[in-house]
Amino acid sequence: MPEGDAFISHMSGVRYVRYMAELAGLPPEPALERAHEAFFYVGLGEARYRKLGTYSLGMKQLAKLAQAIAHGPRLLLLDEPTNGLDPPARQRMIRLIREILEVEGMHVLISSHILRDVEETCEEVLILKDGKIAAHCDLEAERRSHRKFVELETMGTNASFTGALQALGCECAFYPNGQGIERVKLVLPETTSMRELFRLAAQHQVEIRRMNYRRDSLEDIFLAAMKESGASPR
Amino acid sequence: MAVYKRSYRPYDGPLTPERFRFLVVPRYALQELAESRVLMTFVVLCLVPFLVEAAGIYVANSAPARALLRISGGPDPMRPEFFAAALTFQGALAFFMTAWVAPVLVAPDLVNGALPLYFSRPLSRAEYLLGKAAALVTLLSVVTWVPVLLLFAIQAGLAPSDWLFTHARVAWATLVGSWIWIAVLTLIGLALSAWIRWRLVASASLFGLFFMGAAFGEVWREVLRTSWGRLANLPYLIGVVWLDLFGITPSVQTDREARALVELPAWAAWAGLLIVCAASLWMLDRRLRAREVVS
Repeated sequence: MPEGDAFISHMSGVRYVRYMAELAGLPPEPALERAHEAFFYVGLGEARYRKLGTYSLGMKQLAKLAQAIAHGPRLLLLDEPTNGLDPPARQRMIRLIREILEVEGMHVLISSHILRDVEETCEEVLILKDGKIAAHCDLEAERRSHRKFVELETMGTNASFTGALQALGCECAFYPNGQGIERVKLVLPETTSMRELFRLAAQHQVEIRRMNYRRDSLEDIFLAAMKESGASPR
Repeated sequence: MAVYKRSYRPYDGPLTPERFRFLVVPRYALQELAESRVLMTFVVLCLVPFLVEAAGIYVANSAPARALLRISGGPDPMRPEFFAAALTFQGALAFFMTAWVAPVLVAPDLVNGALPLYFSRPLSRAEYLLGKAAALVTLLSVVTWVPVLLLFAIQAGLAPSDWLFTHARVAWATLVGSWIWIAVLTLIGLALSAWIRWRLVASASLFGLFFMGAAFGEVWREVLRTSWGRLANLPYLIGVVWLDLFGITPSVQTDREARALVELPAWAAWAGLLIVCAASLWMLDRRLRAREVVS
């Protein structure tokens, strides 16, 4: 699925997708059947007999996705799939990509500078700079590794709660503000879950007013990668 | 299962043979062209001369029909000149057909950036070009070698049995001559379609190339007193090649046009057409790319 315009304006949507499916090797009848299915799947079923030249930008993006999936590939290359889409259309595109990813044996490669889209759809990220790999990260592993840095705002913190946290194996730092509210920074052990913190707070009658766990966003990873490669992002 | 309930599923069914997959391109192109009433009317009109000539062959071979119509002269279908003239006329019609059809073959794909879609599938640039050319070649065949060979077959059927063997060269020359003209028209037409987005401008350019080239050749000839300027005159070049193929020697004493046709050697005409084809291929090679490298 190319980033820019890639369609034949005088063709109807379904004919265009069928044409592309036949070029990919499908016989005419399965190609027609799958062209219809692909159009319904991406949500353009009602517009499939309209000429592509009359489609809006969002519809063209979805039609491009339809032609990319009509022949049922196992590897899908999507270049800026949410380019030019309004928020509902973007959500729809993200949902479709996720659905496709759920199919067993299906691989999707997305090229995008919209990091939020990448975070929402991808498991692994390659950050390229001047055609070279600047960073490679497994997003899920990144999320897991930063999940254990927890910041709490508590009320009524007492020595028994502090002792219980330390007994749990947490490294703690306390920052009282003098108004009964304390900020507590914790590093949780690998095996400890967040639920344990709530259990201890309830047990020692401590109110947890706010809880944050810090994790690097893809933007942080991207900026770090650019910094390491010695250039500012463009 | 209802269509709206379907989810994404990979395709596991049979695939078409890869070597014939490029034929999808002309099939779709011809289907779209067939929707044009103007083109279909033109194709039908192109067959009118064939019907007239076929009737002429019948009359020429039938003494009772000649007597009935009180015809004593007329074109002699027993001679190669008759078929060369028929091919020349059909060749002119093929030119007009190219001017109408060729501009809509490649340009729409380039205007909306569809080329990456073609080339991201198992389809090479050569196959894409072959597919587009096949659509035009099919239409041009209908108005060039097919009717002229049919005329030849009718004449062979009506003439004495030895006529076919003594005039076998006519059939061969018709076929080869038509294919050369078709190749020239197809390559020039597709090259212009690849470089010019607007249909009217592309059609006008094709006319310009043929008629301005002819005018340039004549001006060159008059000013510099040399016939080599006629290398820019494509209709002239194909005329020389056809004479060469049909083995016709013009009577230079009586016919001014015939005299012009022997001014340039046949090899030069062949070379001229070859250069035009090579230049068209180069233009297509420059334009038909899945991506453009911007430095």
